[in-house]
Amino acid sequence: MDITQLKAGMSGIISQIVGGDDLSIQLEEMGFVPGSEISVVSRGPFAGPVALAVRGTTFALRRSEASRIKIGS
Amino acid sequence: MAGPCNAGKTTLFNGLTGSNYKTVNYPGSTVSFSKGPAKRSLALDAVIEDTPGLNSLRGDSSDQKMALGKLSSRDSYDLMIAVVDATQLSRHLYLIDQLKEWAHDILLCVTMNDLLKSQGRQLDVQALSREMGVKAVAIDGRKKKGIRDLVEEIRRFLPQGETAIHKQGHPSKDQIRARYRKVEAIEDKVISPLPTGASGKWFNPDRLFLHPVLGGVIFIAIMFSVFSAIFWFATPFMNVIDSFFGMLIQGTKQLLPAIWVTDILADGVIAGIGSVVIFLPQIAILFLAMGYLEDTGYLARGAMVIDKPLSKIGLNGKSFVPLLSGFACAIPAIMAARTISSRKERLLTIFIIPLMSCSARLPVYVLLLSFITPREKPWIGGICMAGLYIGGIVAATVAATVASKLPAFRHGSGSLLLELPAYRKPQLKLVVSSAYHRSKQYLRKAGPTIVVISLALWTFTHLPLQGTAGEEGREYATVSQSYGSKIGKVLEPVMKPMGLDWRGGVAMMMGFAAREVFVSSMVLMYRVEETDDDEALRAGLLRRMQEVTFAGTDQKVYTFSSCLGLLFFFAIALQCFPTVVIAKTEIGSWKLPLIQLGIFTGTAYVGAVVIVQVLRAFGVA
Repeated sequence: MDITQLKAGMSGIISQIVGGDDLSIQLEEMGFVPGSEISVVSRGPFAGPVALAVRGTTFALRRSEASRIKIGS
Repeated sequence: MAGPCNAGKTTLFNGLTGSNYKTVNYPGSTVSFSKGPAKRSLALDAVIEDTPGLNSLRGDSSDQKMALGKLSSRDSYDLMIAVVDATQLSRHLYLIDQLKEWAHDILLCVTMNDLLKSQGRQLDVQALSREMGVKAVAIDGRKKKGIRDLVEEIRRFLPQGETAIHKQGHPSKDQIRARYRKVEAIEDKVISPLPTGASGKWFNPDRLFLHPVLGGVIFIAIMFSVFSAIFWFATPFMNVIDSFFGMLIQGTKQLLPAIWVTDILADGVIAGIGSVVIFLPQIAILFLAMGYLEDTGYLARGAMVIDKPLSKIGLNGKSFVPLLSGFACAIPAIMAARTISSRKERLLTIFIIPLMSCSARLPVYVLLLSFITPREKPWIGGICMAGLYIGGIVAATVAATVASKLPAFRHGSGSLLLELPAYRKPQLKLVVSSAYHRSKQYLRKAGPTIVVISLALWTFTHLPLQGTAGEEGREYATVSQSYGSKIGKVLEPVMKPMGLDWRGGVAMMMGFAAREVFVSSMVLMYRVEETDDDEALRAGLLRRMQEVTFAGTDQKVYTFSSCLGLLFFFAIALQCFPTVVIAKTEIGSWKLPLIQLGIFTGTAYVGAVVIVQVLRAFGVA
C-alpha cells in the first residue's frame, strides 16, 4: 500500500519508490530510500499535499507524488 | 559556506559576519548570495560567502545550479564550511559525502544540537570527525555557541593543495541507496540517546497548523493580518514621505532659479525618487512579516496549505507569497517569484502578478470612486473598493486558468517537494537585518528604472519648452503643447470611445511611469489650483471633473459610465513600465513582459470601451 492510505500519526517502512523517472530519484536523494521509517504528520487541508516525516525532517508532497511511496505492511 | 536548505547556514553566516554583509547577484543571473568579511571581534582575516541551499547535486533550480557552479570552481574559495543539521544527520551527510569527493578542504559544522538534545539524543563530534575524515565542529548559531571553536579550526586550516574536482554524473538508485547505507552507519555511530532521556514529549504544532480544517482557517487569519498590517502600519510613514518629497519639490523650485533644469530636477528626478521611496514602508513591512513567518517555520506550512487551491489554476503553493506581495507592489512580487523552482509555474505566477491590485492604484481608485459614489453614503465606496480588489483576484484566476492551458505554461501535474523546517523561535535581529537587505535590494533594482522612466515621460510631456520661466500657467502651456499632448490629441479618437478627452488621455499616459501619477497629472491637465492640502486638492479636482466637457461641445467627460470604464481600465491594464522592465530582467527575455503589456492593456481598453458604450446605450450617462 502507499503512504497516502495511512492516517495522520501512523508510520511505516518504505518498501519501494514506484517508477524510475527523475521524480523517483529525487525522492530517494531526499531520503525516501527503501528501508527508511516514514510517518504521516498531517494529511493537510483541502485534500492537498500531505506532510511526511522521514529521517528527522518533514516534507510536504502532493498526493500524486506521495502515492509513489509504497510502504511494507 | 555550503550545505542543504534549512540547515542553519544563514544564522551561522550572520554569526560570523554580523550584519556587515552585502547581497550580490551571481554574474549574469538573478540568483543572489551574501558575502562579507568576518566580524571584527572574531579577529579572523577572511571573507565569507553564503551560497544558496542545496537539495542535491543535481541542480534542480537556478539558484542551486549557481551554488554548485561556485562550489565546483575550486579556485574561487579556500575552504568550504559545510553546514549540517544534527537532527537530520543522515540526509545531510548524504550531500556532504558527495561534496567531499569534489574537494578535500571541507570543515563540517553541525548545528541544532540543542534541538537534538531536546529530542533526547546527543552527538559525538569527535567520532563524526573520525568517521567522515574531515574536521567537525558543533555550533549553535542562535546562541553563538561554538563559533569560537569554528574560528579556531578555520585559523588552523592548511590548504591541502588538491584542487582537482572529481565531478560525477547523476547517481543511480543503487548508488543512492549504497551511500545512504554508508551515512546511516555513521549516524548510528555518532548519535546516541541521552542518559537523561528526552525532555518530555512536546506537542507537535503541525497537528494544529496543518489540521485539515483549522489549518485553512489559521492560514487565512495569518495572511489577512499580514495584508492588513501592510496597509495600516505603512500609512503614517507613507504620509510623512509624501509630505517630505512635496516639501523637497517646493523647496527646490523656490531655491533654484526658475529655469527648465530646475523643473527637471524637481518634477522629474525628485518626484521620480519620491514615487520609489513612497512604497518602501509597505515593502519593508511585507519583508519583515514574511521574514518573521519564514524564520518561525510557518511560511513553508502556508505554502503547503494553499498549494491545492493554487494548483487548480496551474500554480504552486510557493506562488502565494509573490501574489500577496503583488498587493503592495508588483516589482518586489516579481522578484519574490524566484523561489518557485518550476520555471513554468514561475512564469505563470509572474504573468498574473500585475493583476493583483497594487497600492499605486489606490489613489486612482479613491479619486474615481469618490466621483461616482454618493458622498453621504461612504460605505458604498468601501464596497466598490473591496470589489476592485476581489475583481483583480478574479481576473488573475481567469488569466491563470486560460494561460495554464497554453503550451508556454502547460506542465504536467507539477510537483511540490517542499521541506517543512522545524518550528523555531524567530530571531528578530536576523529578520530585521534580512528585511533591511531585501528592501535595499528593491531600491537598488527598481529605483533607477522607475526614476529613468519617470524622467523620460516627464521629458516627453514637457518638450518643447514653452513660455518664460516662472510665468503663471507656464507648466500647463508646456505640457498642453508638448509631444506627449500632440500624441494625446492624435489619439483622442482612440480615447473617446472609453469616454476620455485628450487631456485625460495624457494623464493616463503619464501614469505609465507609476499609476498614482495619474492623479497629479489630472490636476495639471485640468488646471486645478494646486494647494499643499491633499484633501482640498482632491476636492478641487473632483469639482473640476464635474465641469469638464469635450472641447467645443457641452458633453461632459467625467460621468458615471466613463469613470466606471476608467476603474476597469486601471484594474486590468499593465500600466506600469517599471514592472515590464523588472519582469524582463527577472525572466531574461522581453517576450512575456511584452505579451503581458499587450494582453492586459488591450483587454483593459476593450473592456472599458464596452462598459462605457453599453451603459450609454442603456441611457446611463
